[in-house]
Amino acid sequence: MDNVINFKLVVTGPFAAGKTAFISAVSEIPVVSTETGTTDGAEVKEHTTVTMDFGKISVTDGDQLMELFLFGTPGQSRFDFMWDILAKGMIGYVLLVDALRPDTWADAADIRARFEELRPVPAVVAANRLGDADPGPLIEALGLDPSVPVIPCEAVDRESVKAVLVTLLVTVVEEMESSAKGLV
Amino acid sequence: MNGSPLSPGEVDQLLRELSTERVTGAVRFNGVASGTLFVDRGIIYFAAIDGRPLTAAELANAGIEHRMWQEAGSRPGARGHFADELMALGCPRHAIESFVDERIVELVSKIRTDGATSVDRTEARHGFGATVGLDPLRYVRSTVVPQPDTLISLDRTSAATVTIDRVAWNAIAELVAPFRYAELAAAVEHPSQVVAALEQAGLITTVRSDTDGRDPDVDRPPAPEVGAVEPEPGVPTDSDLPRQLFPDDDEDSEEYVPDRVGRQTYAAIASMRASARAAEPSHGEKTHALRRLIEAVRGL
Repeated sequence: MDNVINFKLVVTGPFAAGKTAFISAVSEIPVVSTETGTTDGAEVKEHTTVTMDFGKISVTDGDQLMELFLFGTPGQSRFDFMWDILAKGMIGYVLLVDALRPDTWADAADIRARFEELRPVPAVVAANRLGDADPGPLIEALGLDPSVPVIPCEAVDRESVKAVLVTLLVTVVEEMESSAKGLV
Repeated sequence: MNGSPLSPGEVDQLLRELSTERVTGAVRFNGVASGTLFVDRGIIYFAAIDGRPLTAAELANAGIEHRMWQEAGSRPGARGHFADELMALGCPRHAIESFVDERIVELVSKIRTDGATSVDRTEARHGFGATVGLDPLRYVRSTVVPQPDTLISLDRTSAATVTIDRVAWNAIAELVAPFRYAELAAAVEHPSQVVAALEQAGLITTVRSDTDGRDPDVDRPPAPEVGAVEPEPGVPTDSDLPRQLFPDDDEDSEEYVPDRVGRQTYAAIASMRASARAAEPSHGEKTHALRRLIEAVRGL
């Protein structure tokens, strides 16, 4: 395959927000991750990712291969040095937040601030397990600009994850086209 | 400075101060390891390493095209804004960031391991320009390395699992526990990362030494040896921005690329770099590709 175009999306969020499940729901390859027992928040889960998750979606058009790489950031702050590496070249990111754990929303706000500082690109907030609940408190806790989409999501449900990714990708395309027009 | 080599702790403290004091200027390290870090308001934006000229492989690994580098150098106004000129020619920002980060990390690693006997600060600025850079405070936090005589014991009762590469696994399997960190460092490429992963998993315990010994850990492969690069006559240059590269350099050499992110993930990053090297897609190609990917996602 001579022509390859690839793009990078980052899936980030606080510890145990559902990032691994999110990427696994749509990746065409087994998600590369490392799982181990953890002493951090042991009451929350038995395993946590201590390195990055990586998934891929690809499509071929004649001799053109187009790939979408999904990189999941490590959940623990001690691995935040990876965020710089992962953020490089990304076209957008998903901030995944557990709607049923308000104790993690402050972390999510910090992560968003950090990513905005690293690279201002389109982003969406995926509110995992929000269901029919009011997203208002979450929006307020994250201090979100009204232009940032907040999408109810179930990280283990493929259709739900697809909706989040499509929203983000459409936003990326719209921004690219707006930028191109601005240069004319 | 009293002529004694800087300890790794002193190097780290200096780096922290660059960030917390928002230093602007140049920090020159002299000694076995020598070079200069260029800083702008606390962010390191370039590293000049003595005896370490630029190579084609270095640019290729970062995803920067040779022709862009040379063309940027020939443009008027490049001095002081070289990175901006590269981006104006279409070089992706992330490639420039990668290039800058790699050099900074290499110099700091050399200073930590080989030592520097004196440090000078000046007001000098580098022609590369401060468009991209690395926060030294964050870097120090992420790269604490155990002392060489740190004792490592295996916890054979732990049921946790962790993924490490085969070289690291073989090294650990062959060492007789408890073993010193220096023994592991002699056998694997990124020992501090291996120890951090195993420790996090609860599979090993470490007993740090109180001694302030020099850390032999080198988390990066040695730079390839190349000859001196002559700047093109008539083109204004800064001493560390050679305009002519060795035509015989192996562009595809993977030797110098640090394996910080795991082999499978690196393969993805390498694919992205290869794609960037080949030809930057046009705006139309990118939006077309994204629309196709949107269809693909919808069709999953």
